[in-house]
Amino acid sequence: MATNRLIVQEQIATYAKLLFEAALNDGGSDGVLLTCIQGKQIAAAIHGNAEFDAALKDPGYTAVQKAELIRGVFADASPALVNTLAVMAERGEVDYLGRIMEQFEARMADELDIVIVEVESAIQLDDHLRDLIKKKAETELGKKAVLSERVNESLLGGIIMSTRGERIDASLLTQIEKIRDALQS
Amino acid sequence: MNTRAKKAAAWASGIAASAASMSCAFPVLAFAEGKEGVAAILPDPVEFVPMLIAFIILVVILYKAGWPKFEAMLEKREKTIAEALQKSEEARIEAERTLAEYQKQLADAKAQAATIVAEAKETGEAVRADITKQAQEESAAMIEKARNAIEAEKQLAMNELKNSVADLSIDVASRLVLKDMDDAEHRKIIERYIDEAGSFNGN
Repeated sequence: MATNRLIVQEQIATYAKLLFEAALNDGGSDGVLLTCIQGKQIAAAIHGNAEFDAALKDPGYTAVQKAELIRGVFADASPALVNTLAVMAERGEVDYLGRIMEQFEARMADELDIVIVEVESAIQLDDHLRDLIKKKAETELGKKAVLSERVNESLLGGIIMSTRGERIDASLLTQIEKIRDALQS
Repeated sequence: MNTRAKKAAAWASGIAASAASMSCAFPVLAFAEGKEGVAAILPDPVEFVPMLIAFIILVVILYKAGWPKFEAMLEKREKTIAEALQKSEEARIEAERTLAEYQKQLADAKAQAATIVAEAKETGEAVRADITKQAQEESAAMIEKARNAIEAEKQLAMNELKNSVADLSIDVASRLVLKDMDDAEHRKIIERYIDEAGSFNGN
């Protein structure tokens, strides 16, 4: 694994470009979208699972064994993503996945005009709300929006929308936290 | 006695010796003649005159040569004694002056000692005043510190109370929201928030 920052950036850009092109060839824009969503989920899963992360970095396993581990665990993911992850595991570069997916998403927005909007809400969204959220996001961002939904009851109510580091927080939890801060000050 | 006085004495003694030798030149003639009666006790002019002449010569010589030397010696001796007396007087005056100076120095030393004692007393008073002032300042600082600590504790307790009240209020509000709101109300809120929410990163 390289330590020079510029070399690492170059490697990440290369991985993102290759993954994007492979996903586009395999399934077109839907394939790219699916790969993006799955890639972000896998990055979060690896980051949140210390045991799995340690196994990928364990020098006791060979590069081939690490690649096989990836192929076995993420067999249902898109082939382009699994192959790329296997190569990264062999080279000990799985930690780059989060940053690769950021560049992948940016490339998807630039080349396909598609953005993934992550939506958190206290209840499951219905189609009417989805339409409202999509219109809002597309109006704001000027690109086609695809929603990635997640139910989070701790929000109490309202909604949080985020895409590519930008965020609209319209949750009841945040409103109440603001009131709490006002009361405490 | 100096060299000149010695020379004068030697010269006078030489003169006297010459006169004596002249008087001794004729005794054979004086006692050679046999006289009788009064003449026997009267001086014989033959030996008297030379003796008288020798005596006069001796007197003149002594008067002219010896006496001035002797007088000069006496004057010199007197002068020496006078000088010695003068020096003695000067020494006495010097001694008195030195004594006066020593007495003055002693008085100065006494005055200086008194000044030092006074200054030491003054310094001691100043040090005592400083210590007292410092103690008072430290005491005041301790009181102020304690007051600040009490105030800080009070403020902390107030903040904790505020936080507790805020947390309790929020908890109650949250429970009320969760309990009283159904899905339809949630959706209405979401719809309203989507309309009212600002742009990305601008809310």
